[in-house]
Amino acid sequence: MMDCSDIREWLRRDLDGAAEPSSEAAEHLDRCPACKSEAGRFKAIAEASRAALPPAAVPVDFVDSVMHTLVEPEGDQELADAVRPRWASRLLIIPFVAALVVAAVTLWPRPEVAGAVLDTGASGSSGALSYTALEPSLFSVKAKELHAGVMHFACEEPTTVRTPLGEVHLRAGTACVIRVTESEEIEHMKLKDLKRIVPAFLAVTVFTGSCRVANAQGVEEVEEEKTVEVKKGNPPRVNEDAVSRELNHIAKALAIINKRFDRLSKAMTLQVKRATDAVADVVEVRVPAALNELEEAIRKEAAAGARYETYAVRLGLLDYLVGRSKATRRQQEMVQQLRRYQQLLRDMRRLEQSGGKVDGDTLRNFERSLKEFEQRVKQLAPLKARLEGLERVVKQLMAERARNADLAAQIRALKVQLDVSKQGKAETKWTWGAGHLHAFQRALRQAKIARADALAEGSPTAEWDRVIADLERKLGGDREWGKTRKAKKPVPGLLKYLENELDMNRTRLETARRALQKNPDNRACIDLCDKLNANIAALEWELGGVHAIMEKLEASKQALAAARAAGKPTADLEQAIAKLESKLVLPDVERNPPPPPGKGDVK
Amino acid sequence: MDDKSLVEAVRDGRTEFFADLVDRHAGAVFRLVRAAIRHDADAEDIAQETFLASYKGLGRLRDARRFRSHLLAIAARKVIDHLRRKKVRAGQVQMIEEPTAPERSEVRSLVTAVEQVVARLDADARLVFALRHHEGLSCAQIARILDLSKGTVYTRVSRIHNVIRRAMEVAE
Repeated sequence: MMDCSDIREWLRRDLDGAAEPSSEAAEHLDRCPACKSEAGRFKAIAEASRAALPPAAVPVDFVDSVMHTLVEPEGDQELADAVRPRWASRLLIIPFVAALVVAAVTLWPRPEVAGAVLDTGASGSSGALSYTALEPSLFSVKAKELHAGVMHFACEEPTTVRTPLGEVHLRAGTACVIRVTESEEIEHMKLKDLKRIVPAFLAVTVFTGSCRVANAQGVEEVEEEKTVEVKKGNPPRVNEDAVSRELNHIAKALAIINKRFDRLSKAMTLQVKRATDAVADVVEVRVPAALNELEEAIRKEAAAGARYETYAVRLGLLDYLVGRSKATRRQQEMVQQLRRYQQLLRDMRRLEQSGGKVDGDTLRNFERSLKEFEQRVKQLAPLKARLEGLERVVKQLMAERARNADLAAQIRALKVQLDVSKQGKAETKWTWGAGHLHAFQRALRQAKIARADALAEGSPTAEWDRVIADLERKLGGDREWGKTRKAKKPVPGLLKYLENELDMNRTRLETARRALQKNPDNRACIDLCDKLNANIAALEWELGGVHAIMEKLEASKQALAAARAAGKPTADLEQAIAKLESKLVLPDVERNPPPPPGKGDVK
Repeated sequence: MDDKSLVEAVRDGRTEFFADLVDRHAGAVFRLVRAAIRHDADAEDIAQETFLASYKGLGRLRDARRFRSHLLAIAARKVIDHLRRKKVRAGQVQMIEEPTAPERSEVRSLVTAVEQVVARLDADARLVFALRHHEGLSCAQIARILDLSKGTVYTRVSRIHNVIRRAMEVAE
């Protein structure tokens, strides 16, 4: 009784071809699902192994070519001898030996030898045949194979000539002409297995008769009649099954080719459409827009005439030049793509002419798309000329920029200095020294950065060097920035101070009144309004005093001028003027701010 | 007519019957040779030589019913001679290379896995493999054809199948 392990061993041996058929195993497999599954796996291995071996189709003319090798006279005899059972040949040996003895006795005086000499030249595939009374020689025959064409041959000894249709066995002393012609050859591109479906013809002309030569020199003349045996040994017997199989293969191959062609056509059409869109985008949108921008920029520059303020424009031009080079590359790519498509179209036409099935609509669509693509590419030509003109303008501008680099650097340096002075002025309002220190330090940093930029651009840096040296000299002096010098405060005059205060108090009063209107009971507002009214009154009074002092000062000045003009002593007047002016000076409000004038202070 | 009748007819001098024998067995011979050599033109030459040799050897064939085995044995010898001439076998020490694990994406089917294994076999192993699976011969028959011991053939076939099983397991 076989168990599962025995069954599996039996299956393995069965796969290897070493197991005997077993009914017991079959019964076990019927009732054991696990072993049945294992048997399925082994069966799958066997089927996969069978399918994995390379397919091999027998050539259609194989049978004919094999048979042809068997029908040659010499070979036929030899083969016939070989085919016969050995006991038969043994029976025949006695008459054969007897015949041999008789023939030897009869024919012992060798007849006059008549043979043929063939000069095949170096190639040995063909040559001129001549007859001679001498022994035929084969020394010049280099090849004993004939693939196609005509071969003249003279055999000194039994010879075998290989042809595509088989071997031709020739007797000794035989001259022959072998022709191999292929009546019809059908080839299909890329289908190596379909080289021929109609077999070749083999014609063998054998000269078996004796030939005599009457030439005194002993060569080159044929007089004797010759026996010619022509064998069209291989009539075009076509193995119909094989041909139909091959035709099926061709049909399948053509179907595959057509499918691939359809896919390729669709893909190509899509690609052409995309490329056309890309060209349209470049030709109709990007390039005209870039050209318009460029022309506008150039026009602006020409109109403004500002040679040194157009770096932005020039930068734009440079950017455009970069873009233009990309557009040129894109154009080259498109032209290359166009050539590829044209080549593809030619291939398609060739395929169509050679009989391959090509979908006419697809081909026409493809041609139409390709024409559109060609049109688009052609449109690039005038744009290219326009671009070249603009490029010349840009080159001129670039040359001009190089010439003006020095001036540009100077202008930038002056701008920096101007900024320095502005910032310094702004910051000296309260802290003169520290403001200048910071401004100079910032200016020094900016100058160094600008010098590095100039170096990177290849512009001259002499001006920057001078500026930097100047700033460093200023910063490196023995001043104690921000400490030693206190700014003389440009304080406003008393008049202005009072006017400002008056305006401020009036504004506050107005605000307080508006608040009081909204809330008449607000005590704080009432108090504030009272206080502000008092302030305003005091300020107005003080302002009136200032105006009086100013009139008095003006009169004193006029008197001083008159005294000087008259040559009188002016000391008293000058003293009076100084006294008056001192009254107009505002007290130090920052350190000792005066108390706000209250009611009690009002004079 | 079966093989025996055809062989006897040829022996009687009716050579044209040999064409039927060629037609009947050309596929087997060609498949075997092609599987071992993997070169169409050489395979065709060897197949032709096989039939010519079999024709010549008909006189030595005792049992005409075994013409097919006789033919395959000749073909196998021709293949081996051809490989010797071409020195194809030089340096081929190992019969089968161990299969490397095929990439899963490439393994579409078990057949693909087996094809990968078969592609790595040397010519002798392919000959055995083709006789086993193309012709469906048993180890004993293969041994007679190749003039080898049954054990040798069994070992070779078994090794090939083991490699295929491993490759298929990887593929699964």
